Amino acid sequence: MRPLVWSAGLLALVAFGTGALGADLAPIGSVARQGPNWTAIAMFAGFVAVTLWITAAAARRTRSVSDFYTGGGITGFQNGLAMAGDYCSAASFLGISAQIFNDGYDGLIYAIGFLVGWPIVLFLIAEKLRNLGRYTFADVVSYRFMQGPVRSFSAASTLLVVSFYLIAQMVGAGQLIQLLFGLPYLYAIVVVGGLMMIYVLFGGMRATSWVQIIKAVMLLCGATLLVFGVMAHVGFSFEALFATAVEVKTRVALDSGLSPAEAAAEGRTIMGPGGFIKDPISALSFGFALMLGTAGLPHILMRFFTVPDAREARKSILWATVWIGYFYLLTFILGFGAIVMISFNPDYVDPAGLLRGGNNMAVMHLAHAIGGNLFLGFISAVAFATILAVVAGLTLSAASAVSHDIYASVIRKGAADPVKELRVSRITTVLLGLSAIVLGIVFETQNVAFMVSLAFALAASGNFPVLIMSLLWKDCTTKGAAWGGGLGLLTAFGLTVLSPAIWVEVLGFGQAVFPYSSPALFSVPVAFLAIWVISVLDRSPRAAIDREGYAGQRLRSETGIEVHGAAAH
Amino acid sequence: MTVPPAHDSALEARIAADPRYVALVRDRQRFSWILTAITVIAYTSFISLIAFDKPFMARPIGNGTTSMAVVLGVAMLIGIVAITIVYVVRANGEFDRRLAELLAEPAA
Repeated sequence: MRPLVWSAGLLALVAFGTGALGADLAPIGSVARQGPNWTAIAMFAGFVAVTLWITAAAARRTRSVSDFYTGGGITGFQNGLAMAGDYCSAASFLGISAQIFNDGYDGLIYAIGFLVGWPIVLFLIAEKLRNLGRYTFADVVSYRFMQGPVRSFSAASTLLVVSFYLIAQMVGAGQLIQLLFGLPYLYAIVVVGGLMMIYVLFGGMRATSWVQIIKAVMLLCGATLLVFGVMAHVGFSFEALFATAVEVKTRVALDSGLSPAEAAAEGRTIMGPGGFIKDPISALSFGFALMLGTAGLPHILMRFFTVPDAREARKSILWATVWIGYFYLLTFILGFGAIVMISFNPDYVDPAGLLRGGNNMAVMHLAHAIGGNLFLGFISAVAFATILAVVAGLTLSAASAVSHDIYASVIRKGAADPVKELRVSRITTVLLGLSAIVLGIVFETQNVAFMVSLAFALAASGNFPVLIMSLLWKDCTTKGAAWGGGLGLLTAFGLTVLSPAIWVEVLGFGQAVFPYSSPALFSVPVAFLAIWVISVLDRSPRAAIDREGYAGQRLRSETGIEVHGAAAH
Repeated sequence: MTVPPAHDSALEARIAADPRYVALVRDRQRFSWILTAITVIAYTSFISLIAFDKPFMARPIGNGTTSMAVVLGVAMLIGIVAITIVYVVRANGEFDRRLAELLAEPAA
């Protein structure tokens, strides 16, 4: 019953927030729309009602720790959709399309980087991960090692990665919802933090999975409809879409006072790579952070344990890749569609040529241009749902790191009372939800753009090397994994602080000590090298046990003869 | 506790000694490393083209507007999905069948 009471309360909060603050809506009122966006609010309330109903149903079936961490098992197809729901953040939906609206092609480079990690996860990690693990990726990396050091490393790394990812999501959510729904920033943060807490607290992985699945379906349908609208506008020809976009950009350049020849050249720049990739080292480093980081994101790795075996785990990735690839293709078309359809409309673009409501609004304006207020409301609700699904997944993986890895495995040495373990994970969820709200408020006016790429760089430099070495290298030892992984994290973090994004833009120094935009090209090799050197030098008695354990681990990771099936509990 | 419960050492010893197991692991490993190499090389080449030869990437195809960059970029997206399908088809088909045979009956 409790979730239902909560749901009523939250709906009231949403209604109150928008009703009482109707007068504050002027910032988006300057766009064609005046007053609160009731369509968006109604549709979002519908989404919240459905997900809370699911959470209430899931809560009745979430009794054991296994239910909480794995949700009792779903199919590979469902898990693939949930992974897509976990992975496609509002930042990529709104950010990539807006980037294309502004600079053209470059957004696609981002999209490819986000997708290319998936086959790597599949080829190197997925089946072994599923065959060895039970609830978290730390189960896998600590399989043959001493539990304390390796799990502490994994949990610390999970909390770090999740924190940066979560802060970026919360701040983005607050700003977006402020804009779309007319809710003040504070209310928006509280609604997001509160809902994510309810999903995870009561419904565990079962509710989280379904929130992500529903969100993925909404997002894919919404984006497909938008693309259909764009393609109908240009007569279903990609060549016409691109040609019109170049024409539009040329006209914009002419209006800004360039000569016809210069304007034509300027217009054409949207068809090729532009300023996003400054130097080759940054380009490769950033690319590797995205590719290998995907293979180390704890909330993504955790989703492998929701399916019964390696076979379904592979299917999960197959479907995740299909849907995520399709989604990025759609965002690419949407960016060009926005150039074509909203560039000259004063309702969407101010006289200076900037998008009304901020940089990320391209898709929102496009939705309004195609389907009016109703469609805008739908896409706004989709964006909100998108944020919720991502933050719920993040919270669940951080809560599991604390309750399963730290509490049950390190503190209780694997002999935790399941009731207490479940309680610890729920307490952690509440604490995480509250700190997410506080952090969201603290970082409101800060530049958080670097935080997502930092999260990817940390995952690529800590979790990924430790996973690979523990799974594939016989001589890897406890010390090598824990200290080597830690050194990788530290290097990635340190280099990021010294890079332009923080050293210059946040701390205000003149010249960055580390000149490249991403540390991965350096910090990933540092981690691999450190794991190797420390393991090779490790002559402790424990190291002998670690090496001896490899044969058995390998056999199980290849055959799955002792797999902990998610549905089997 | 995740350290697995009772190990069936007889089963383990039998599988480890089975030549079909050795062959399966070798084939699957080779296949996954080859596909990994293809993915990483294709992606690195793509990024390097962008980093080192922007004019080539901006060049239109024929007399149209669509550029090399768009064609190669979309090809990357489709290729990534395709290579994923290739692996899953073989792993869930041939490799899983060989694994099932191996687990079901001892070597002749």
